[in-house]
Amino acid sequence: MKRFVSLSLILLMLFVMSANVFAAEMSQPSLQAPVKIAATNSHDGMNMGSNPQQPSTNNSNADPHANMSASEHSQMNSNQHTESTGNSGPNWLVIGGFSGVIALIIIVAAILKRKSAGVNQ
Amino acid sequence: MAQNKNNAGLIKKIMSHKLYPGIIQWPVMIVFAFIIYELAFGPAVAHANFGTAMTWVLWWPIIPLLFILFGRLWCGICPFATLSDLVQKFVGLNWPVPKFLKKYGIWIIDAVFILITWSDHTFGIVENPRGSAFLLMLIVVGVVFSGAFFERRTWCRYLCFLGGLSGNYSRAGAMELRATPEICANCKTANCYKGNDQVPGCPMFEFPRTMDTNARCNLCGYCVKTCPNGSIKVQTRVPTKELWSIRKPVFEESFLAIVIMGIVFVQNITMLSIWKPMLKTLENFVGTTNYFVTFTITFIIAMGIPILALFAASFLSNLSTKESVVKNFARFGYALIPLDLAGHLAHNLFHLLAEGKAIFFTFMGLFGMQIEGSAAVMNSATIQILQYLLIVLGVIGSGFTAYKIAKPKEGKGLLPHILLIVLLGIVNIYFFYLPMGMRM
Repeated sequence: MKRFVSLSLILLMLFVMSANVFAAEMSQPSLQAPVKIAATNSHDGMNMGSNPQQPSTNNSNADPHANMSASEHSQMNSNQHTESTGNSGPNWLVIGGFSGVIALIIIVAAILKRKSAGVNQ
Repeated sequence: MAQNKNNAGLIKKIMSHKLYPGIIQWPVMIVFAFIIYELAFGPAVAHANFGTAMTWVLWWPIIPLLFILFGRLWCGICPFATLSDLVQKFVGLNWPVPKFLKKYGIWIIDAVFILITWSDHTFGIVENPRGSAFLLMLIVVGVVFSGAFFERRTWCRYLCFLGGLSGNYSRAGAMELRATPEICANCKTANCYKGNDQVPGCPMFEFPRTMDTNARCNLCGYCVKTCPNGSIKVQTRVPTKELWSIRKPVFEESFLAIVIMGIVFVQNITMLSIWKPMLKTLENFVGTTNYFVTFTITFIIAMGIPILALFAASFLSNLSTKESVVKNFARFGYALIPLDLAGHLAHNLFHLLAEGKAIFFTFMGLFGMQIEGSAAVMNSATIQILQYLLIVLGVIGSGFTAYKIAKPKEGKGLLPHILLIVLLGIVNIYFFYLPMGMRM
């Protein structure tokens, strides 16, 4: 039963991940690596800078999204982000470095543990 | 009150169950793994990324609420802690915690918190899924290293910046886990600290018998299971009560409290409509448009003002209390925690309520569906009123805490701190009065 549950979970995760990659590819035809995190990203302060519609509290319809469709909102942010990140895919340098460091830590710890276990015996 | 006790009794029952905390830890771990995956491999723009929505629109805004209600419960089910336990189980060397960590742990947390906030604005973390993934990966590296080499949850206790934040916030929390001193007096096993054959000892290096703070208890329930005498009790209490009578105030913890206030200021300022004109003025003043320079100057000022203000209040207060400025700072700094919590909650309430539907939109986006509509759950006017209410509650909580911290006949010493709390409250309300930008 336990095996069945874990297998189902793994299959579900794989399905969602594949669907997600597919969806990402549909929305971004070119997945290029690596992405550079640019300092200009935050220059305007958390997506404020190039927003054509600033939320206004003095407006009776003050909800910043009230008169916008999700696609307009998306478009607004897309324009801003493409400047700094381009049509960027995963940053393989970071992911590779991360995986390498994790593997290194685990291998070193495992070797040391084996050694200390050998000494104790 | 009896009802409250029963509710806490129910929580103790849950804690003593053999499936707790694993039954929550593992689903949280799976969701977290997917979030990292999504941040690293999903859409590169924040508004379309489910990981960004889950992290910065849902998790970050509601986490202070969890701290108020349940103390550091989140730390007990945190995926980083689960990962640390997992690594420790297979390759853990269980070395003792280095002395410098014990001595300077909170300072490291303070510094890392400041550095992350600075990096967020200069390199882009929150509004860039890849940046968020990079931050989470860095934390995973630290957690794996700590789990592989050091005993128990060294990372959570001494290094996690969120742990520092949650430690401070949970002091104001409404729930506590404590031992019964009369029962513990006859105990010779100390299983709560050492553990037994089935359940490990306290992962946070705490000895429940002497524990008098929520700051380091993650409500993992191990002590509830291991105590052979049923000494551990989980009970509700008046929020902020723990802050009234801290026996040994620690300067670093008070410093963290005022640092958090500075961070809330920075987060607010850079999302307000006044930020661009401010930046332009600063650029003209310093003669450069380099964002690293201009933001760093803003950052230092925004972080420095609250710290200097607390020092000034402590200096004035010390004229009558005659202890020392540092001691006064350490003692009254804790009073700012309720206002910190209120500021943090109020700021993030905007993101939760003005962008909340983005969680659903991005989730549907995982299956290639695009949904049209506003991401707002409430209109801005309603959100603003809620923000003001939270800040007023924070001011009342902080003011009352300062009043309780002050010893009898310390009226003159109390006044500067009350004025500071009111001033910080007014500044917060002014910030929330101004239009604010989106995260997604």
